Order: sequence, then C-alpha cells, then structure tokens
Amino acid sequence: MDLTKLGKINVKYLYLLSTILIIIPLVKPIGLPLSVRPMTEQYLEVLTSLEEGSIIVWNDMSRPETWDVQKPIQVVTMKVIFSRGHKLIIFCGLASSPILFQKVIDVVDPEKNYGAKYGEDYVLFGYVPGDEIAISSFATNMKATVSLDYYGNKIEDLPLMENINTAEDADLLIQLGRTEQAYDWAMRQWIIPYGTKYIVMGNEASIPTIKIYVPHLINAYVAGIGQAAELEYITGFSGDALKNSDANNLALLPLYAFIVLANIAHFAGKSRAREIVEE
Amino acid sequence: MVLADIIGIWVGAFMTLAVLSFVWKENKIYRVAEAMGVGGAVANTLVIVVNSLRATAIYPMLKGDFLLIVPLVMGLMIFTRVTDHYWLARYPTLFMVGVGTGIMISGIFQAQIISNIIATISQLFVAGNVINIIGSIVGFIGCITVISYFIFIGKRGPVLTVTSKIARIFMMFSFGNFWAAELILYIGMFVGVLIFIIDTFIRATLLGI
Repeated sequence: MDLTKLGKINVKYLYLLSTILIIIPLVKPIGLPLSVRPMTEQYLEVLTSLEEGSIIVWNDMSRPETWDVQKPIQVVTMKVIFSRGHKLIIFCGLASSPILFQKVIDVVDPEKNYGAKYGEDYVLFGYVPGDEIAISSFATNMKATVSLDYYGNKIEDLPLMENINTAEDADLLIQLGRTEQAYDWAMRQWIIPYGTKYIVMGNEASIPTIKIYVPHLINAYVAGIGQAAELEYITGFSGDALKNSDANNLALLPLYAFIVLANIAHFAGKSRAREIVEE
Repeated sequence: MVLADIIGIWVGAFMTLAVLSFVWKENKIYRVAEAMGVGGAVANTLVIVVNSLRATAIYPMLKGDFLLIVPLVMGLMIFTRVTDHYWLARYPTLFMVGVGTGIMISGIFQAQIISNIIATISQLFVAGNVINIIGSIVGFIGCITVISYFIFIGKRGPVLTVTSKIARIFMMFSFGNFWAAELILYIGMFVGVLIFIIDTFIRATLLGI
C-alpha cells in the first residue's frame, strides 16, 4: 500500500470536514465535558481578591478579526468586575476598540444588571493613539492624555476621575492586547515602574508569549475560546464560549487527523527513498 | 430588530460567504467583498481618528493649551510626503522614532531581560511536584542552549556542537508551538464566522427563531 498518497489528499476535504463538524454541535449541542485549568482559576482569583471599590484600568485593543474569540472573555470579566463593585476605567489602543467595547457594555448592561452608573463606576475613554507612548502617557498623567471620554464628556465632569490621575491610583491593570508586543508595552511602561497587579486577555496565538512572563510580571491570563468557556463555567456567567465550546473542540479533530496522515506520508516517503538508494 | 441591524446582518452575511468562496477558488464576488472590507475599514478608521483628534488636540487647544499646535503641525507635515517637499515629513518621523525608542529602552532591560533571567533561574528553586521540577530544568536547559546557539556562531567545538543540536530541537518545538497556537486561533475565528451565519443570519434573520 502506497502510504505517500496520504500526503496528497486535497486540503479542501479538510475544510469541508471541519465545517461539518462545527455545524453539527451548533445545530444540536452535544455537551462535551469541560475541565478547568489552574490558570483560569488564578485569573478569577486575582479579580475576586481585590477589595470592593478597587480601581481597575482596562487597556482594550479588541479587533474585529479576533473579536469572536475575545468577546466572551471581555463580557465575563466585566460581569465579575461589576458584580464585585469595582470601578473601571477603559482606554483603547485601536480605532476599532471603542466601538467593539461599546457592544460589550451593551451585552453586560451595567446600569440595569449591577446598578453601576456611567461616570461614577465606569468610564470609557476612546482611542488613545500612540501604542507604547499612549500607555506610558496614560500611566503618567491620565488627565493630560485624554480630555474627553468616548461620549464627548469632559474628564473634569466625570466623578470617578476626580482623584485618579496616574497608574499609582490603579489597583489592577487588565489588558487585551492586539499583538504580543502590546503586553511588552504595558510591562515596560506600567508594571515595572509602578508594580501594579496585571492580568491579560488574549487569543491562543498570544499564549506562548504571555506564558514567559507568568507569574513574575503577569499575574494570570485567559486566552482563547477554551479558557473563555472555562471562565464562564466557573463564574456561572454562561455565554457564547460555553455554548460553542463543542464546536471549537470538534473543529480541531480533522486537523489532528490530517497532521497524523501527513506525517505518516512523510516518513513513508523517506523510507521508500532509503529503499531506492539501497537498491 | 431595527432596519439598520437587518441590513447590517445581510451585508455581513453576503461578505462572509463571499470571502469564504475564496476557499473554492478566487472569483469576482470575493474581490468585491475584499474591496468593500478595505474601504469600510479605512472609512471607519478615518472617523475614529477625527474624533480622537477632537478629544486629544482640538478641545484642549480651545481650552487654552496652545502648545498642542506643535504636534498638530508635525502631524500635518507627514502629508507633505505626497508633495514635492517630501523631506519635511522626515522631521516628525524622526521625532516619533526618537521618542518611541527612548520610552522603550527605559523599561526593556528590567521588563524583558533581567526579570526573565531571574524568573528562569528562580524557577529551579521553587518547590513543586515532580512534573513542575522537570519542566523547570528542561526550560533552563533550553534557555542556555538556545542563547549559546545564537552567541557562539563561529566554528563550534564538540561541546557546542552538541548544545547547538539540542538548541535546534528546542527551537523546532517552539516554532511548532507558535504555529499550533495560530492554527487554533484561526479555527476559533472560523467557528465565530459560522456562528454568525447559522445563529444570527439563518436562525434570527431568515427563520425568525
């Protein structure tokens, strides 16, 4: 049997198989078991260990491309923050982030669900351009960096910002980075100079970079749809990630199968080449 | 659902299916969707940037902070790149690069070099279960061998030849890890796209469930 043919299977069959396996659990949920990683519990522990009324600064860099993966994490994190009575200051690092974050606020509905008031319990500053320079400037002097919030209110008119101006006033920094470099920016400009507690959100591609800094600089992280589902499970705030975790898990199965088949074809080809040389 | 939401969902569904059609083969519908996506993103960015200018420059200047005219003028100088006086665009660029580099260097040694060295070494002395201890030792060996691979790049003796082979294995595992993480991300994004098509478009909009 010629095993090298396994490496020549058209990749479109992989796409088709993945699509079918994603659609099945969306139409009829299967309910695959879920195990919770210690890092997810640690992330929740950092949020819940803060005293009530703590000041949390959130640097958001949501992007439309990865929003489906990141939105569940944002929603659950925000729900935990408001359910604990913490104060939240959000500033954004991408032009698209304030629009996407507004959608998160609409889902969480802090006023209706948690009695939080805009301006007193949470404030959304829009896009603050400058990447690392913006984070540095915001950490050093928030009132000099932004003068209006996302809705056009003057910063002087926001009660929450009355006694808050620098990173020293923040008890926790949360960041949703747009690339792996974004976490470096926050570590250089906020964590090292001010020693603030720091947790991050991200996607699966960020994990190899984030893990390097745990736990000495990054206290905890939640990255990817898998951890988002775990976070929803342990907090009890069910959402999109838990609902769709079956689809995410099953979608990877054809991929694993094709990787195994491709490796079999590769080693079969090498073995055949060796046989030809020996002949 | 309001009319604007319904139109948005239909446009989103059309563009999603049009872009996915590229998987079969490139076609004109895909190109239309691609152009719409790029145009929409640029327009959206323009609106956001104008709003940002209003908040960070125009409003403070109206309050009396006239020094902000300097960065505003420097920003406008960038546009001279498309004119005959393109050399003017170099000055704001140089300023940005200088400021950015200065700000970066101030934290890079502590954040990315010293703290990581301390963490790599201190992990060896943290009590834990057998797997964590083995992991710490393996990580330390990987760190030392990969660093030596890039530092000692000339002719290698017998010891460095062995360490460079070990380093290559670690690097291959590392690249594979990065690639696998990217792949899982793309699968997650694809699931999100299909959820939009099935839940939001077909169920909610077409079938009204």
